[in-house]
Amino acid sequence: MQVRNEKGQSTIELITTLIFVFGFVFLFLRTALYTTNHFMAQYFTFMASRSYLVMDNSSNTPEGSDSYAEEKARGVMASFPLEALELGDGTLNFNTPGDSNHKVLVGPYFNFSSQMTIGGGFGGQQELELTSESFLLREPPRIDCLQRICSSFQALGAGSAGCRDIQHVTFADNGC
Amino acid sequence: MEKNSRTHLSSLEHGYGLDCMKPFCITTLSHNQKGQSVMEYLLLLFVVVSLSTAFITSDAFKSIMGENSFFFTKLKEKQEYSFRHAQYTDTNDDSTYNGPQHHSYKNPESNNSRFFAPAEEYPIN
Repeated sequence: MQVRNEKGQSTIELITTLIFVFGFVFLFLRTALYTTNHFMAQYFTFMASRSYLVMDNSSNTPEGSDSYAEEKARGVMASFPLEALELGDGTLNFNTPGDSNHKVLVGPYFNFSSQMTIGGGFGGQQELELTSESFLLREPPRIDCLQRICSSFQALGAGSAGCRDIQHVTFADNGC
Repeated sequence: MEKNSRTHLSSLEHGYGLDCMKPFCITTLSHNQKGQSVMEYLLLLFVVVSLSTAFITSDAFKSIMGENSFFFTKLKEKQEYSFRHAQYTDTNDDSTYNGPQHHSYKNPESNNSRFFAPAEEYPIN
């Protein structure tokens, strides 16, 4: 005849307790990992913004220089491990000096989606639509400075259209 | 002796709770309480699972904790807003890039700029 005892009770209780303990541990881990990913997204946008701030290819139009800066900023963004941090579906967009109505908002912004940091079950499965912005503005490119100096010369009566007859122009601190 | 002996078989030898003498075994079921706790456990489990399922699938619960519920929708809005503007308010995010009403730059509740400036005019006369 089988002799019943309570030897397994503590094991059952341990297993039951471990389910809750590991549940909480993984919940906090998940929250920490997603929060880290989000902070890294802010940092990546900031780094792209720094690049966008200063890049200049001496284009003969300000828009050409802005496009070059965008390309370089996208390269900076792509150099980070976006896929590993679940940021691979994000898009980097730009408010350029030319098309932004509010000049204080010039710079890149990064749109991406992510899981909610809290609550994997029930309604916590819906995705967050997050926006990381870094508006460090943009340094005027050389062509912008040249055009301003040209305008100043023309206001003084010197220089024809486009200032092509002015050969010697001193640029101090990028001329602006 | 071997042929005529009436061997007594205990219930343990039978394994199914019978007590009989060969070759005239009379099958009688021996009732015991071995399965009672298992049955009680199963019934209790059934009741708990049924109640839990009924609670989780109820409209009242779904409206609070379900998909697109008030709780998680509000939580989603808060997380999105605080991530973007580093502020934790109940304001709806209607920031645009076409004007000065971007919430990172202008507090929509007080309608003041978030940029700080000297409290007094400089130079002080």
